[in-house]
Amino acid sequence: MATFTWQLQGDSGTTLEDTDKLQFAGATFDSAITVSEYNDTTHVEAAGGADDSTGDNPKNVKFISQTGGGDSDSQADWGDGTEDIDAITNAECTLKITFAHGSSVITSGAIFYAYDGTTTTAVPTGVTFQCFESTDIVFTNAEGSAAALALDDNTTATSHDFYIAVSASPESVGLKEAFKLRVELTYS
Amino acid sequence: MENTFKNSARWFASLSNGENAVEGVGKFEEIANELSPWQKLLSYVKENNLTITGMQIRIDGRTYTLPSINPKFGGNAPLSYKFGRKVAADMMSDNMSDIKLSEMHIFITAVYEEFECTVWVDEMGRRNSWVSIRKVV
Repeated sequence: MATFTWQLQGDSGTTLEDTDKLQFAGATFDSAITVSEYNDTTHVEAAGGADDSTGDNPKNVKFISQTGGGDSDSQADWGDGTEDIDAITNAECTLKITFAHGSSVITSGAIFYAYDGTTTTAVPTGVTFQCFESTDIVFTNAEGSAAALALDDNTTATSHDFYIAVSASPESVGLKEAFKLRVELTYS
Repeated sequence: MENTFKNSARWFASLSNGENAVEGVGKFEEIANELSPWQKLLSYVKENNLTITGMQIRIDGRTYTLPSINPKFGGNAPLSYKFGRKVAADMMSDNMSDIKLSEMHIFITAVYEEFECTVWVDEMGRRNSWVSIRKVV
C-alpha cells in the first residue's frame, strides 16, 4: 500500500489536499511576483481560493544566486537573509514529501521536477523553476523530466521523507497555470 | 492529502531449490512494518544460498514472463533478476485530483552482462505493458 503526502512546512505544516494548490507569491498571499524576481512567500491555496496555510508561518525559500556563495555554492534566502544553501536544515525547506508503505521498502531513482502539466518532458510555461534537496550545494533548474532534481536513495523503511526547497520566477505578467510539480520514485 | 494505492499485480519467482515464491503468499506475505515481500525474498535467497531462476508478473489472469536461466525458447540466460514498482505523483494544476498517485508501474528485470531487459506493466490504468532494453554502463 503506497502513500504520498505533500506538506508545505511551517510551524506545524500544512498538508496539501487533493484540491489545493501550492502558491508562489509576492509579499503576501495572492500578491504577484515581479517578472524575473522570485517568490517572497509560499502558501497553500484551497480550491475556493482561501489561504489554507495562514497562521502557520509557512516556509519560503527564495532563489538568490546559482554560484554566488562560498565555494561557488548556490545562495537563497529562507528568512535569515542570503545564505549558502548547504546551511539549510530539513525543517527550513519548503516541502516535505513523504512516501509511505505498509511494509519496509527501499526507494531509489527518485526525481522531482516541474513541467507544463501535460507532457512530463516539457518545461513549465512562463516560469523559471529552481529547487534543491536538503544537503545539496547548488540549485537545480528542474524544468522537464530530463532536467529533474535527483533525490537521495533511501534504505529499508516504511516511511521516506524528502525535504525540498522550491522557488519560482515569472517570465511574463499573468497567472501561471501550465506549471505542475511531480515526484517519481522506484520502490521494492 | 494521503493518497493510497493497493497493488493488484504480483511478482512470481522460481528459486534454485525448486520453490516458487509469490508476492503476498506464505513466507513472502506482506505484513505491516515488516520487510516488504521482495526484501523478504532477497533475505531468504541470501540466507539459504539460493538464486532466482526465473520471474513473472501476474495480473488479472495475465502472465508476463522474463527469460529464465533455462530459457524456454533458447537465447541467453540472465545473470540475475530485479523487481520494483515505479510511482509518480503530481500537484499544482487546474485539476488537482492528480496529487494522488498518478502512475504505478510494476516491473521485473533480467540482468545480463551487457544489458538489462525489463518488462513493465501498468497497475493503475489499462494494464498496458512494455519491454525496455538498457545497456549496462
